[in-house]
Amino acid sequence: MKILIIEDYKPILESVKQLLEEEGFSVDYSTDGEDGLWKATRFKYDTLILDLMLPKKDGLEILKIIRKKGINYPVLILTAKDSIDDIVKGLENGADDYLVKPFALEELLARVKSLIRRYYNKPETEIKIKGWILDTNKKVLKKNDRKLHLTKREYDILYFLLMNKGKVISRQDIWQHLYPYEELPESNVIDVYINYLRKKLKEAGIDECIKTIRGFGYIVDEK
Amino acid sequence: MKNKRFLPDVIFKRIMGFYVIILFFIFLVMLNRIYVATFHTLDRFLDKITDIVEMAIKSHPDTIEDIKDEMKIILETEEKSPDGFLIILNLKTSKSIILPQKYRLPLNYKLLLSKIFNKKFEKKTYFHSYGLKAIRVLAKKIKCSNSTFLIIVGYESWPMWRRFLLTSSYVLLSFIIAFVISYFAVKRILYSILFSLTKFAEYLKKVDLSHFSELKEFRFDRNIEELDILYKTIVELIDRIRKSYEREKQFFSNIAHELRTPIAGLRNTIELAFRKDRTSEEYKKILSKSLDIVLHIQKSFEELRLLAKLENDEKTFQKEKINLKEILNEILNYYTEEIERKKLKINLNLTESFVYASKESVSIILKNLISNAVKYTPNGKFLNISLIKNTLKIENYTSDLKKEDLDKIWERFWQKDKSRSSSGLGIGLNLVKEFARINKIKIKTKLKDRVFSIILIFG
Repeated sequence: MKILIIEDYKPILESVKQLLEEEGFSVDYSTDGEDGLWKATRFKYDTLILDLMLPKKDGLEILKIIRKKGINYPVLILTAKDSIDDIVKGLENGADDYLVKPFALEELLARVKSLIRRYYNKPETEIKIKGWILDTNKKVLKKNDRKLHLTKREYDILYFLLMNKGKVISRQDIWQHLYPYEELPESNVIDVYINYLRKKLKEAGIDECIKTIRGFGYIVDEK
Repeated sequence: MKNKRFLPDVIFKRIMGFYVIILFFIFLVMLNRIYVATFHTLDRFLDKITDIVEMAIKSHPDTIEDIKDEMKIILETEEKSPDGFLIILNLKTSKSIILPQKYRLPLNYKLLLSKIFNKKFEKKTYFHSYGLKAIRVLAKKIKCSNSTFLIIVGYESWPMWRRFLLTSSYVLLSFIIAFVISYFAVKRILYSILFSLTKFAEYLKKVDLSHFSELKEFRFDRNIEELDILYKTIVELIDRIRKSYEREKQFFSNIAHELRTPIAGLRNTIELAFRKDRTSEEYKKILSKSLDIVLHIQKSFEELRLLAKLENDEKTFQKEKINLKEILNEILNYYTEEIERKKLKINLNLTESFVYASKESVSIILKNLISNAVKYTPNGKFLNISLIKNTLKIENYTSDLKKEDLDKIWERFWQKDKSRSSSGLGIGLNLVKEFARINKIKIKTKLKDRVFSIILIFG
């Protein structure tokens, strides 16, 4: 899952970025409104963390523009002003949640996770797949007492595919949701990870759960 | 405390005085006119007639009858001749001429004549009233060629007091009517204006500075220009007050924001440290970041302290003779390390210079200007400081400052780039401006070919 942070105050930006990275998210960031708007409209994210007071372009304006363009990923606004007006304006213009500075990192994390679950229409924190359970809090795939060890990338890909259960996901989608924008996509990296993942899943007895759709990408289907 | 009085009453009390004075003068004029009408006209008429009669008698002393026709013509052609009669009496022969013949003399005219004959026939006025009217009679005796003639002129007239009474009653009555009408008319107008003003006062009571934009426009019932001017002036005044109130509000909100942001950053940085066990390198990094933030907060508070001092006791800054060069050198020493680190090419041209100003203020001004110059001059570029007589010039290369920024740099919270680490509240230059104002130091800024200069001229 990839998150964009647009925040001009470096200490907050750096803390949030490190927090999310430690939690396994892929993070892009901008320190001003113009660059932030460019990234927000150019790439796909699973959540945007948006400060309202930004140089060059106001946070609220960015919010309006991306919603006008039909970009629908969740937006969490950060504001140092606790006036209800700002929060209401933010929410009315398409924000999904807000936090008032100073906030607790853990709260931010929980809110981001909840936004992502809602975005993919999977309100529960555990995703079931053929008798196995993907625990998104502990980041493990388990069945009763058995645990299947997955690397970070493998877990990320499986998590992303499961969140999009029933939908065809292109390699580019997977790439965009897992890697920061500076990293140029390498054609077969995703395929390699999918292969590893398939092997591990097969060992655990989850057969044929990731299907290849030729020319498009992958799909997870329980049928 | 004085009793509150209703405005129309106050006005009328004043106006009443004028009314009385005007009325007095009008009576004086009236009196004069009446006097002239009663006496003067008749006297002149009599003189004229006497002259004519005298001349006529002198030419035909024995035949007064002959002048009868002549007199008749004269009387008829005489302009403004009063409606009356003329009797010429030859006292020797007892012959008389009564003109006009058809003049209807009052019944007791003989009594009147007898009264006249008993007098000494000096030029005199006699009144003889009958009913409402009266006859004024003037008689004059002239001697000429052995005969004595008596000329009696009479005409219908009112006695003066009656004339005066009647005329003055008209004047008085019209005055009273005019007064009453004007009183009520003015009162009505004043009432409506006062009513509008009272309504306007009610409207003003509702003005809430924090909800000024929601205020509806006020309209006076009457279209009076002065009221509109009053309204516009008050609205403008309110608007000015509101703007300064907004500025003040904005200022505090900005301070709250600018202080809350670093505290939020500090909290998150520390929270991140506690999330899991970290290496000592990571802890060091987090501590160093935290220290930066704390320094930033400290600087902000320092700026706030100065601002508060500035606003509270402007007058406590004692002026004294200070050595500018010495202060400059002290401040520059403080930045030596950073100048070396940034490899700035610094050119100093400082001459001995003494000015009369507050030492604390000047230190604050110079510290802010030099720290800005050092901070915003790109690595390896030049920074010139020259001090000649009372003029200090700080010049530095700038890569991103634009002409249109020059006015904005003095505003509170303005920052060219908002990466706020260690830049304080962004009110440094605003402080410079204020301290310069108090010490009567002129500041000029210039931007030419990427060279930014600030020139201070000490008063």
